[in-house]
Amino acid sequence: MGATLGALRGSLTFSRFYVTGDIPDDVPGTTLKRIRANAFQPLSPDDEKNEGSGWACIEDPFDTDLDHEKVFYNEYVCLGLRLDRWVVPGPLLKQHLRDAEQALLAKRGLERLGRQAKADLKTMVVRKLRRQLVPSLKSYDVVWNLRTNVLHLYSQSERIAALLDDLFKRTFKVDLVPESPGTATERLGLDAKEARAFAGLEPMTLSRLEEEAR
Amino acid sequence: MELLDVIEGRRFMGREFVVWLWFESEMQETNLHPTGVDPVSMWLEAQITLVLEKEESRLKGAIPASSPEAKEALRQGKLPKEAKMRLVRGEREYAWTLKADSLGLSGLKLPTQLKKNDEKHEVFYERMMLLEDLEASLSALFADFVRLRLADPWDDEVVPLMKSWAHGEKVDAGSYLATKRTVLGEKRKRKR
Repeated sequence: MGATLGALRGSLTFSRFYVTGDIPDDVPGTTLKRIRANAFQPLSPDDEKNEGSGWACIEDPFDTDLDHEKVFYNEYVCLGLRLDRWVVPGPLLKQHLRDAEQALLAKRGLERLGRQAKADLKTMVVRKLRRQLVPSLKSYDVVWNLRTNVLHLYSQSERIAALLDDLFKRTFKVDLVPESPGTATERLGLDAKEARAFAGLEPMTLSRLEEEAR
Repeated sequence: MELLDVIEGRRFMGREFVVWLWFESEMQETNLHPTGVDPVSMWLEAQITLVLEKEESRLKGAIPASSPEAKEALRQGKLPKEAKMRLVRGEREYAWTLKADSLGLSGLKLPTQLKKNDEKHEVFYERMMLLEDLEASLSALFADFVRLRLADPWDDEVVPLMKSWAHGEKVDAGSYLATKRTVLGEKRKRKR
């Protein structure tokens, strides 16, 4: 299982977001039902999709039966963004696919399989192999400070940030703005002169090559 | 400005922020006074990566920012993309790597007192309190940088001083600090 370092222990690696939009006054009192509705659902070997994500307990990603005590820590909303994925090793899939293809050819007395038959066979083999495997599990800590409306995602992966964006908006019906030098600048509240300067800003350099060329 | 422009079109400010922190730290012998929060001692250490387009200089050592190679990279027009930093505030000491383009922190070590066997909520609250303390210092430093960066004296006074510093020339720290005081002082007055 991955992501053991985060809000609760170890060193911290994170990206920050600003929660904006129509934030309810009473988040703990109004959002638990939607958090539970978006809790992680286990993957099934027969699923078409290869992965699934949803909320879990920040302290225990296997615990998806979320209640008030597991989610709300004073002014913090604490959740685990759990992401499970079927990972069928390539060589294993290749070998099983070859065996299944040969068995089917022999059974049907054919020399070659058509494109659709190959695709169906692959789906069947993948599902069979999934039954012998356990999905890979990762959980990423998410902590939303309701006093500052700053959210920490304990990951710097863009893909995980995109998953969070989707799940968070679906759950809380608010927006997430990623922190960056530009968004952090705007959040300071610029006056009109600063806003004009910000809009026309050009990168600086400490090189003198251009000056020397003039 | 559209959000995408604000995010992608202003990433360079993160690199400028790091080089400004580096300059500030050297001008004030690591003793920084961010507006509105407690003074801190802060410096770059262990590792710094400077880039200009696809060219990259990755420097390691006790204080690589003090090495001739680091200043040479600045003279070539490179700016820091990533830097390890240490900050001391009172008795608390923090160390982390700052990713300039996103302002993301990684490998942050907190000066925690509680142990993992202590009450789990208390451990969490202590970590969040320490993190927020650090973020308050960093946010105040970033705000000071932005106020200075967007003010008129940046191009006319600050950048020439930073260029002198990068080129190993004598820099009048007093002149820089006076400029900074004027800009940040005016800003405070206008706010009142």
